[in-house]
Amino acid sequence: MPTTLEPVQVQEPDLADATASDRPWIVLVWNDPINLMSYVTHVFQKLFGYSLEKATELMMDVHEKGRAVVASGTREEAEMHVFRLHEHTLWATMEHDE
Amino acid sequence: MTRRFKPPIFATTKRGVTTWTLNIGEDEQAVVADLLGQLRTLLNSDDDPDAPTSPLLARLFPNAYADEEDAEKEAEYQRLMREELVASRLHQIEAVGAYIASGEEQTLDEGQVIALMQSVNAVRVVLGTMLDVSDDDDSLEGLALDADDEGEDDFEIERSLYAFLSWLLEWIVRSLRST
Repeated sequence: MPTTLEPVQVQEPDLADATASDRPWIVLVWNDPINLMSYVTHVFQKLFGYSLEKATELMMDVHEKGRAVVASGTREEAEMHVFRLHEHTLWATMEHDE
Repeated sequence: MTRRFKPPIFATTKRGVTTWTLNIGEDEQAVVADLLGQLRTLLNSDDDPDAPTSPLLARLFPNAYADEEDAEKEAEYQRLMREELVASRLHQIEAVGAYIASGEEQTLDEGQVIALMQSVNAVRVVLGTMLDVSDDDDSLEGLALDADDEGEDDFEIERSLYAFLSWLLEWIVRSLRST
């Protein structure tokens, strides 16, 4: 996987938007140089039930674009996804959908 | 060396029940067991939530919230989940430790294979952090030869272990996929 270690700058959610906290959260997986491509694909399939094609597509997005949105949902759901991705030692974060 | 003609781990399905055979030698099993023991020690030495994290473990415990404005949520997440993540890792290591390095060919169920997969990758990630792996090169050869130009390689052993674990992980994933 490519070398990017720091998250790229992402657009900040609009703080003035009072409904910000009601918006769904997205779960991102970031590129890292250690996790194997086959492993990342497998984890996406296992945790989210994606087909091999979809999981491979997401993995390639992580690999080539530096990150990919792999899931979305309420804050609790997103936290659970992030936790399970961390259990698998993938670099996952969550943020408000924009 | 007959084991070289078979993958280090493979799945077999009989009457609808799939089992996995761990087909690595006693010495290699001992290496995995030893590395998992070292990881366990690292995890146990880091049980104070207020203590700075060992830099080697940084990748095992990433932030959940990327935005600075979510710092409060992040603190809450770490307070609630970090301990659980440590417990989960220790649980997986224990599950692997129960069967590995017994000197016998092992028959595993899916849960044991998943515990092995997560544990092996956790050790890889710690070794990769130590080696400062930054290659965009997934090939084992590339890593094994990635020594310092100065000749001396202080991390030659770690590089070999990293390559070994990468090879094993690749086969673990393949064996899970084949079912």
